[in-house]
This record gives sequence, structure tokens and C-alpha cells, in this order.
Amino acid sequence: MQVSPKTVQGTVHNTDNQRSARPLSPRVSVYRWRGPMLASFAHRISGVVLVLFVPVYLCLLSGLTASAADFSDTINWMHSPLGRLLLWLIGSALIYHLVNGMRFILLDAGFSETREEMRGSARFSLAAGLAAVVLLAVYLW
Amino acid sequence: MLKNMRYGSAHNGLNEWYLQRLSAVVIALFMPMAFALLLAVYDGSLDQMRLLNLLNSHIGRTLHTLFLLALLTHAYLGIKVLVEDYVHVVAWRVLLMGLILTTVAGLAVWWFAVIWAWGS
Repeated sequence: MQVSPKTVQGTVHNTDNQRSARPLSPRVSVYRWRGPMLASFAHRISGVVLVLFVPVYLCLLSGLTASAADFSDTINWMHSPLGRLLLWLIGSALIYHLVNGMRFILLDAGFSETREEMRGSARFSLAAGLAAVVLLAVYLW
Repeated sequence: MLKNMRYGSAHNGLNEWYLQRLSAVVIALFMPMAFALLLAVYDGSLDQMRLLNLLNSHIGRTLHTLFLLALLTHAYLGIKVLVEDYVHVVAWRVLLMGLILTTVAGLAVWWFAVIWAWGS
């Protein structure tokens, strides 16, 4: 998995003619599996998961705000095994994405940019995500 | 470096970067509210009447609409970054982004319709 920095640099600095052969970001197979890399990657995965849940949110919203029968049907669906599983997934992804998103905003604003701080905050985000996974599971089951 | 780029959003990068963060802040403000409401409905502490009182008001609709716009903008820009990073064939990128933009627009229309049809 690990490629020496020299190889990476050699491929990055192409001449203009070879631009199409350059490795494109993010080089998942090249980066070392460190906290910050994992935090960024998890941010992307949780982001995709959340996008997929927008239609689910819309279904819930229209169900909950329609007739009284629709309301109780929707509540029953949320309590079904599939409903709980989806709520668990969306909630975990949401909390991780929120915590790590605030971390990104702080980094963009120029806070905590040293390597050690980046690793520490990445571990914090990942820990918050794990905590969300466990706590939501306890809450839902 | 920049002027040699042949494709990608070479002109819009800062604009999109900024918009991604602005929409993130708006979502960070509203999403916890929506999540809390959903959980309150789930565990039965919020009935339909009180839910509708919260959502079916001018302020509820306006906040919901702002939330919707920020969320779909954020989602679109996020997927765009992923497509630009992982899909290396430009033709596929164009096709994918077209599909995604259509989907996002469709969701926006559906969502607007749900929010603004209440009580009518």
C-alpha cells in the first residue's frame, strides 16, 4: 500500500505533454492510512450516504405532514427493522459529517494546522463518529 | 500552472469552495433542528398537530426553504468534487454531472412542493 515519497514526487511533476498520465487526487492507494487521511475519506463516504438519504427524508416529511393515517404509517415504518437501520445509518453519517465538517471549517479558518493538531482533531472526529454509531444503536434498539 | 489547465472548473474553484463552506454553515445551523424533530416524532414526544404547527408556518417554511437550498447546493458541490476526483474520463463526467444536476433539480422541485403545499 505504501509508496515511497520519491516515486510519488516523480509522478506528480510531469511535463505538460504528460499531464493526462498524472495521478489524480486523492491518491487513495498512495496516501498512508493516518488519522487525517481516514477522516477525509470518511467525510466523503458519509457525504455520499447522506445524499442518498435526501429522498428518504422527503418521503418521511411528506408522510408525516399528510393525513393522520399517513402519519401513523410513517411512524410505524420508522420503527420497522428497515426504518431503524436507515435511521441508524443516516444519524451516524450525519453526526460524523457534522463534527468533521466543523473541523474542516476550523482548519480552513487557519486553526490547528500543525501536524500533531491535525492528527489529534482527526482522531477526535473519528471517535465522535464511532460514539454516534454506538449511542444511536443503543437508542434505536 | 492554472492557465495551462484544459478542463475542470478552473474559473469557478474559489467560488465553489466558498459556496461549499457557506452552505455548510447554514446546514450546520438547521440540520440539528430537523434531526431533533425527527427523533422527537420517532419516540412519540411530538404529535402530528404540534409538528404541523412548527412546520406549517411562514417562518417554518422560510427556514425549511433556506435549509433545502443550502443542502442541495452542498450535496451538488460535494458530488461534483468526488466525480472530478474519481471519474477520469471527461465524457463520463459530463454525463454523470448532467444526471446528478437533473436529480438535484427534481428533488428541489419535489421538496418545494411538499413544503409549500401544506394547508392548501
